[in-house]
Amino acid sequence: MAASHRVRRIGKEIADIRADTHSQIGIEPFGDQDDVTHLRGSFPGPPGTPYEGGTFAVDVKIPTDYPFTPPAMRFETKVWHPNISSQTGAICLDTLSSAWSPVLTVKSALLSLQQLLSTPEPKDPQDAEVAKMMMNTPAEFARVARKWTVLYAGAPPKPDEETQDAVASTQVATEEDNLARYQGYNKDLVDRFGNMGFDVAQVVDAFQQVKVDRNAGEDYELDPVVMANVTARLTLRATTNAVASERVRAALRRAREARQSATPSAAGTPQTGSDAESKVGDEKAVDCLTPEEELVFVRYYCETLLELGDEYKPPLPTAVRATAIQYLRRFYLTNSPMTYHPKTIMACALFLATKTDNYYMSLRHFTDGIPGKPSPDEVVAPEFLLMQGLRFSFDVRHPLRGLEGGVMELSAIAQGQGQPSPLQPHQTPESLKNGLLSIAPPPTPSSSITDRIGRAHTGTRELLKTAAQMTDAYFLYTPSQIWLSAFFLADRPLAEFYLDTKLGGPITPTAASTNPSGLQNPLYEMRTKVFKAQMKNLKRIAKKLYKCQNPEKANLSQKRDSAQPPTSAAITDSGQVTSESETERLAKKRKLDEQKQRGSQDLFGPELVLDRTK
Amino acid sequence: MASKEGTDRRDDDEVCPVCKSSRYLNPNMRFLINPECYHKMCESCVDRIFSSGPSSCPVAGCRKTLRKNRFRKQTFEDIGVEREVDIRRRVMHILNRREEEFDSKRNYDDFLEQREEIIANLVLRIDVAKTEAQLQQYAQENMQSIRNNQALEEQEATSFQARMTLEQEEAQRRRQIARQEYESERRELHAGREDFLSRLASGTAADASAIAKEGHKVLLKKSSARRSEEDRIRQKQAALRGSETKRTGTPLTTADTAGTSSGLIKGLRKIKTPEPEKPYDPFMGLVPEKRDYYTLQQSYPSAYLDNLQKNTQVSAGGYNLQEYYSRTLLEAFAGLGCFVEEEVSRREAEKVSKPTATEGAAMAAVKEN
Amino acid sequence: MALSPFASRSPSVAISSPNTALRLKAAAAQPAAGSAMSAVPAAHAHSELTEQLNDSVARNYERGKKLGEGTYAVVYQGRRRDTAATVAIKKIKVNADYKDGLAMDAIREVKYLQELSHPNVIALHDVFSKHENLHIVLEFLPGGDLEMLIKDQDIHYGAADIKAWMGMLARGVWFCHENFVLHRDIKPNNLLIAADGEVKLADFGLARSFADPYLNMTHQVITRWYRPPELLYGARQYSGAVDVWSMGMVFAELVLRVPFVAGNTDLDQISKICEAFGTPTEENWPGVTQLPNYIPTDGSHIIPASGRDFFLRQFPTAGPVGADLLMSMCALDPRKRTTALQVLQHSWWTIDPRPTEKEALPQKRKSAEKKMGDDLSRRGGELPDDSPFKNAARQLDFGAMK
Repeated sequence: MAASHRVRRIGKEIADIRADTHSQIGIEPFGDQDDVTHLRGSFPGPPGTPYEGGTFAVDVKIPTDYPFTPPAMRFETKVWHPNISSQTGAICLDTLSSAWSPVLTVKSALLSLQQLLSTPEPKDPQDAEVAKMMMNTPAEFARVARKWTVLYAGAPPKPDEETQDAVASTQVATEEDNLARYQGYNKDLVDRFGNMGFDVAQVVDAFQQVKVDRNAGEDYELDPVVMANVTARLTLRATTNAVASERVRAALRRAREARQSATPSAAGTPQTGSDAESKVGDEKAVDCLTPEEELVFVRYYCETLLELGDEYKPPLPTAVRATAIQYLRRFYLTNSPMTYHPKTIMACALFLATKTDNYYMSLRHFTDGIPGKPSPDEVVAPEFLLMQGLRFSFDVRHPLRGLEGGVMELSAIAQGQGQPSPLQPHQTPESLKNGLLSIAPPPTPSSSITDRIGRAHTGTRELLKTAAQMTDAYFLYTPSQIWLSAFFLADRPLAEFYLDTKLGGPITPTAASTNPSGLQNPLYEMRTKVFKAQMKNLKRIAKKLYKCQNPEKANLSQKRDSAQPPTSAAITDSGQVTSESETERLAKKRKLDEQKQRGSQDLFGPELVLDRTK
Repeated sequence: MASKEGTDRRDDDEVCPVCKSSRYLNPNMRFLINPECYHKMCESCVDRIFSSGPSSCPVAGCRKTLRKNRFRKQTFEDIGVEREVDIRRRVMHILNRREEEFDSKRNYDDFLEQREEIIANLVLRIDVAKTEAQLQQYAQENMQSIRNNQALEEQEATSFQARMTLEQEEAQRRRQIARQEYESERRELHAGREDFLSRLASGTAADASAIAKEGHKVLLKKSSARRSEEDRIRQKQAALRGSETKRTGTPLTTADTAGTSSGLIKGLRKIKTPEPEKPYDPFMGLVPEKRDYYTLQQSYPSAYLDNLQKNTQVSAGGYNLQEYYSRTLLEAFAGLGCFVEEEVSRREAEKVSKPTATEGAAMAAVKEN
Repeated sequence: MALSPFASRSPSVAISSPNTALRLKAAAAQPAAGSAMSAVPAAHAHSELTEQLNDSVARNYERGKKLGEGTYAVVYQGRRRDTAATVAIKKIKVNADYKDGLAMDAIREVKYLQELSHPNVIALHDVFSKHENLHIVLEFLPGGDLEMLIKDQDIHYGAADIKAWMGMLARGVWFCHENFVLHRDIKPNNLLIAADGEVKLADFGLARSFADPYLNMTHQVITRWYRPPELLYGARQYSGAVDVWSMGMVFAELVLRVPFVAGNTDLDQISKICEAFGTPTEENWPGVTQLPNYIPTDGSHIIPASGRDFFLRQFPTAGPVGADLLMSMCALDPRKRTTALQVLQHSWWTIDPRPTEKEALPQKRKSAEKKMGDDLSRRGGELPDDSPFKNAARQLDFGAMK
């Protein structure tokens, strides 16, 4: 029984690995075609490491009591790595010894070996010599590791690498070598980002991923959208995305593995057909969203939030909606839509905003206003998560009230009641009024100055309500700067006049930075330019997201109240109602949960146990 | 202090250098000196020459202008000593620093030595001009401190005097009490003895010893009571004296030490004059109503707010449009000159431990990035 | 005050800020080695970025003994690991009965305290979550509260002390109003005392921002004895004047050492106010009859508004100028009531007696020490269970409304 179980499991695992082309993990019998207990695994060296381009073969021996003891693994390919013996290929990795769990597979073990290559740990070495070199002379370590990869793992030597190798002893880094790091991008262009504190390699990597035009190596001004995408790649959003992606992958893997290990004991007859089917689906889903895609997706839900506020009678105040939008945007700085779907977070953000912005209504009343009338529990379930994502800072300062103040003051000036600003004591109500009347005509003709101010007021309000909410403006500028730049867009001569009365005369070099023209960027990045272009992508992203949604975080209210029947909580995603698959997914999740709770030796046990005892 | 008789009694053949009259002829003759030149002359000469105003010294070769009011009796026979004492008094009057004003004993000793040197210079006429100038400068710069120390000295002198009188009175009273006690005791003893004798005379022999014993006991009790009473008084006085010395022992700390600027005296303790209390600031340093960009007006034209202004219910509740004006205009300009990127780089520069209060905000802000 | 969130265009933060990236790196299971690794935390991080950030805050505090418990929160003594500073950690209970998510009290307290930083307002150091519970890290204020001082008959204080306490209270209130935050629950047991004697405004569970037109606010705020007449009459739009009234009541209580107008019900409170300060009429308070819950008084019962004499007689300790100030704080018509700013601009502060230095103010602990005598000395400075801070928990408790 045990033996056949083992053979069956290995067989499935092999099929699994072969079906997965994405991970590029290979597996084959070591010698005898029928002997599944001795295998040879292989995987490509992780990119961005000295092992890039190489293929590493691993000798895998399946013990008789597998999966209760880990497979014995050893690198066949010679590797220069602190946790791998450069002589024998022996591996120092906890996953293959103490931390082994029956839910792990040969594939996951191979993946963790791949991972090990990118995360060497010289403090716990297998090969002391390598570790020493890595700690003392990292450059030399990288060089040797690269050399070995080229020599033994079949990595294609890069042209400059050979020459570099040849002159390695002298360590002469020529100008060309340096330029090679820019990979054809203009040096100044890259360095502009480099000056912000990024590695050249990182920036170039981001450029490649965002597909920045090389422009034949010439310097040029990047489009704000591209710029934003590059920074998204480089900054927190990218970090968030990376972490989430990995967790999604891991979670999907866990879900699958759980299913696999659960299947035999359930019936004893492997349902290979359905298994293979879902497996294929899962592996596809591991194609995660990029930071830009996430951004677009979140932006769409911000837009939805704005419209949602109109559903209420009376409509929710603009400030409440704006607060909700900012909550959503802030939340997704450190959270990924792959982990938490914006649809669930959106309603909760709006509800939280009604609470923090003193427009309190009962949850019941609130949910009645949302199309599809979600259950109150569903709305409020992610609340704590949302607040944690906001790091509990609830206060959002809007530019809206400041606009009112500015307009009131301009109106007073128009009526000859203007008061001089403390910095400009020479002003008089008359001089202010005359100044206002003598400014350049507005973009659209208006009957009177009051009319003009009113129009600029409305125009600015609209901008603040929409464009300012859809960009990173709140993260980058203070509320006064935001409303003034929006005002500037609405009626430039009027805004210039107003600023002049405050700062005195034409804008001086020191005040240049307060010139709204310097602040336009975030607002030019408006829906016309960004949003419409991205709308096309939305559907694609939504589809993709559905595939890569983290199953463990898929349903929060479910998590909160497990007594609720799973069907009622199934996620509807952009019209793609998939309650069936959702139910299935949840059932799997429950199974996984049960398993977690049962086995304390379980890999994922400790996390949960900690939660309980603390 | 030399007594009057001391000077007068000497040298009967003393002759006034001005009028040449001698004590022998005029036993009541008194000699006076003037600290300008210390030339001795008789009282009648002084009267004669200086009564009508300042005049030059009649002694041949001395051109000093003298005033009558400065003439005084000679204290010491040796005119040199007299002069030195005068100089010393004058210098000590100016350089009247006290030991508690110095950092260390050593510095005080140095000061004393320096003072002696100045005195010696003046007495022996070495660098007189320079030393005098020094002294004058010091006197001017440290006027306050000098005056304070003089006051202190005076105070000490008077308090010493007061204490002396107090003690004397005390002693007198003690003596009186003792005398009274002694008297009363004697009387009692006397009465007791009489009583004893009469009882013995009237009583039996067996009682005699008991009666005698009793009488003795009474006597003992009295004297022991007196002794303890005396102890109590003595203790009380000691305590009194202790607190007295303690009070005078603490110097006035109002002295200012600006005088060290002339550099004449070194090692003076830096006396921290308690700063005069600042007036209480109800705002504790914050400036209310400070606005850079606008002057708040009583009202602003706004159709949107007109209804509100007319609504008595709203205004009766205390709603104040002024607060709205103030808030909107504040928010219109708050942070206008504050640039997030600059803030970030500045924060990066000074990321050393911040006060905890801002930590939360900083953390909150960082997540935005 | 954080006016605006920080830039995503300022990547240096993401990369080198000690608050995020470094902590992230530290939180990541394996340190990145060599330049090949980017700032991205080790890809097999065990939790989302948000959780990592939150945990790094939570790890900085360790919880000590329980100081008190209320219906909404438990308060613990705590310690910052990096500075070893003592703090109070308030753990908000998750109330299963409350269906509308996190209680407004907690949201308000966090929202407004995060924005206010002033010596006379309790400091909020951090907020973090742990096991789905909200933890608010507050300044540790071991000196008890004003209520204890008022009630403790063993403590004697004078005009200078009252002036010092009122000064600190007025500064705190003024600062809140300057930032357009109404406290709406000023009373002696919400005025906590720091170790150095500084009085701090605490419990912002009822606070809210104000000044927006056409926006109704609830009149069911402020503990009854300190509630101004306009709120008792159900005004829905009001101003900082409500806090000033409460301040006036605290002032009166400090002088009298008993609550000045202590009604048993809202109605009783109104009649007590009328007795003390006069009946509100259209003459002394135009528009008062239009307030939603206005109760007309029949003509015979109208008590004339009390004048200066009344205050002078009633509050001799405050002195004539102090009585004037108190009178201006107790004006029935909120429009005529002095503002927090005007309170601080009053001449009372600068005339004699000068306010006592905060360190020299009477403190609860001295008498507590006297009472517990040997017990305390034996324990060597450790606060006994009956310590002043036991009360703090009660005050920090949102729900403990009278």
